[in-house]
Amino acid sequence: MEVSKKIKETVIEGEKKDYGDLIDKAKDEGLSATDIVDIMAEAMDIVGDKFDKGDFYLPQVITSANAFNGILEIIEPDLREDISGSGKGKVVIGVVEGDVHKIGKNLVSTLLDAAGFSVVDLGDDVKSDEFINTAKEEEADIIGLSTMMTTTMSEVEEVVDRVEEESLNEQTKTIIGGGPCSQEYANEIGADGYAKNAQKAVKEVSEILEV
Amino acid sequence: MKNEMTHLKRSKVALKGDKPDKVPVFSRDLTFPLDVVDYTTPEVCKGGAGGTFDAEKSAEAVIKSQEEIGHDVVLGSVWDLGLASDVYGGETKFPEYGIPRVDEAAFSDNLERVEDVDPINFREDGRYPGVLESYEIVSEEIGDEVGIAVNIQGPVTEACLMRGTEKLLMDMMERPDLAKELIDLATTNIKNFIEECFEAGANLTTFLAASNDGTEVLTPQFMREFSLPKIKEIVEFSHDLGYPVVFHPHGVFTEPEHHELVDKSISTGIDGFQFAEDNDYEFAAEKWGEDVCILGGVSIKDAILPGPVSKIENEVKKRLKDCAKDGGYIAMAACSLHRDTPVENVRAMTEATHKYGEYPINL
Ligand code: B12
Ligand SMILES: [Zn+2]
Repeated sequence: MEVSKKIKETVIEGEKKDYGDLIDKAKDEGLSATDIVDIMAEAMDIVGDKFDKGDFYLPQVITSANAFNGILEIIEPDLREDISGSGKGKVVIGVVEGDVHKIGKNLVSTLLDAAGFSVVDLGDDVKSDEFINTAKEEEADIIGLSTMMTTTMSEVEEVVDRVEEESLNEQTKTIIGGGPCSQEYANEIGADGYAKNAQKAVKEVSEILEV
Repeated sequence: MKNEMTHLKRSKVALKGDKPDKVPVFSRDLTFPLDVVDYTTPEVCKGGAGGTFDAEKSAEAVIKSQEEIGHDVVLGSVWDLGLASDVYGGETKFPEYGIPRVDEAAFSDNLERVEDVDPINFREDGRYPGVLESYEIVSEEIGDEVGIAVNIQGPVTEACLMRGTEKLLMDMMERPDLAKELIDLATTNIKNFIEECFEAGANLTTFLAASNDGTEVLTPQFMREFSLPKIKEIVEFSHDLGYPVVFHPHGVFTEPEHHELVDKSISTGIDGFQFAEDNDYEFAAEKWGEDVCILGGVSIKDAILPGPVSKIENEVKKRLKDCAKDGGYIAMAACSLHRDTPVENVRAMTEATHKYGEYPINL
């Protein structure tokens, strides 16, 4: 089988194994680390689609995410070389207070990292104070806010409001994502961006920062 | 009004699959009652002596909520999801006006430890003594009139709370025997808790809050392998005590590929099935209404949270028309009710059910 197909399949099937051989083969065939990330992102898109349609269940999403992260770990050093101009910008990201759904945020965080952004991942259930303080300390360019529940959407709004109140908004932009969020909601609360999935999140962050 | 049944009687009749005087309402209000009395979350869930559960405030909240809303079935206490994990050394966070949540699951770092721990002693351990005392007070105050259900997590759901969901799912794939040990421990605890609650005055049914026992979290194969055998064990136990069981797994079970799972659930002996968000209730009543009491109906995300009242009334009427005509239906939201849910919307669900759900139903 063609090696790119094999990578895609490994992620979709969430195969657990030593990924070193596979990646060596991919490099032999001339694939770069960024090519591999692109292939994996495509695979993850398919996984998300299958999950939405009910063909895949949560355990399968988790094993796919694990395979994704496993491969990513191996190619990360190359990735940094590939994506010249790391230092594309600094992103502070987390799931808002009250919400522990972190799988989606983890993907966004991983892909941003892979794309050469420097990512400070605050984890899940993060207080608005922590977002704001970290953004100040790190002089973040972007705060990424994730939530999967309607009941915690107000936390997203709170952080966005505080960015403005504390006059951080010249230096720090906001991007939001997760199930109940939408472009309309982003507009309504005054967030600078929204993305439906991790790949689009990378695009959106790049656009906001013009990198 | 002549021939008006008590809340308790009405609920018992519907659970048996028959027609009461009117359709009962079970709002399964877990932390919602705290808004009715305006207590903070930590004040009640860990504000009692020595950081325990405050039985009196919990009972007061439950009783006032029932007075205010008028529903037919209550739980014996305010409820949070960290109780079991806390006993084994986990940590639960209690936001002032928010919903408690497990911050550090007891077995998150070390599943092997499950082999060395004992089942919970509910009269002594953790915050449970306050919970049971709350059941006693509620039973004493309103138990003659109102249905009191035992609310407890389903086996996989409880194990997820003690271990962390992602981790337990990986365990199921990589070391299923150890995963099963944790689920066995959860099952033992669930059974013992059920018995304690009925002794403390619960009078109606066991309710298995099983969000992670269904296809929203498990594959169908995992549900068959890890959850349903334990559900059967719990059902037999509750039946031996003389009480029915309602099962509430999350997932869209009215999709054709999941019908078989409902059939399998019913064959464990359950008496009621609460369908969660996004299910087709008309279909469910048509297909399974003869076999079990159907519960649920009003969408939390589309109706109860956003309102307005007219939308809730319309949903209630639609469900009554589709599910209630032949009896065996209890109105509920599609899931449980927590803090920050508009009180007037919950009241609207109850009032509309009682108003339009009087038998014979003509809608
Ligand atoms: C897995 C899951 C859980 C797991 C979470 C495991 C974990 N550690 O993450 C567990 C079992 C713990 C859980 C618990 C609960 N859950 Co849950 N859960 C889900 C489920 C099934 C899948 C979410 C997921 O991981 N998807 C896969 C990832 C890859 O997709 P994603 O999250 O959408 O992320 C993508 C995009 O959204 C976007 N994105 C995400 N974040 C960000 C951030 C930025 C900046 C950007 C740009 C983009 C972006 O990119 C991501 C990657 O492509 C959803 C149902 C669903 N269909 O979504 C319910 C769901 C989110 N849960 C729900 C509920 C109600 C709960 C509970 C309250 C249940 C309960 N009664 O206890 C608890 C809440 C606990 C808490 N306080 O947070 C509801 C929320 C309803 C609501 N109010 O809106 C849902 C929608 C289920 C439902 N239909 O009812 N849950
Ligand atoms: Zn539910």
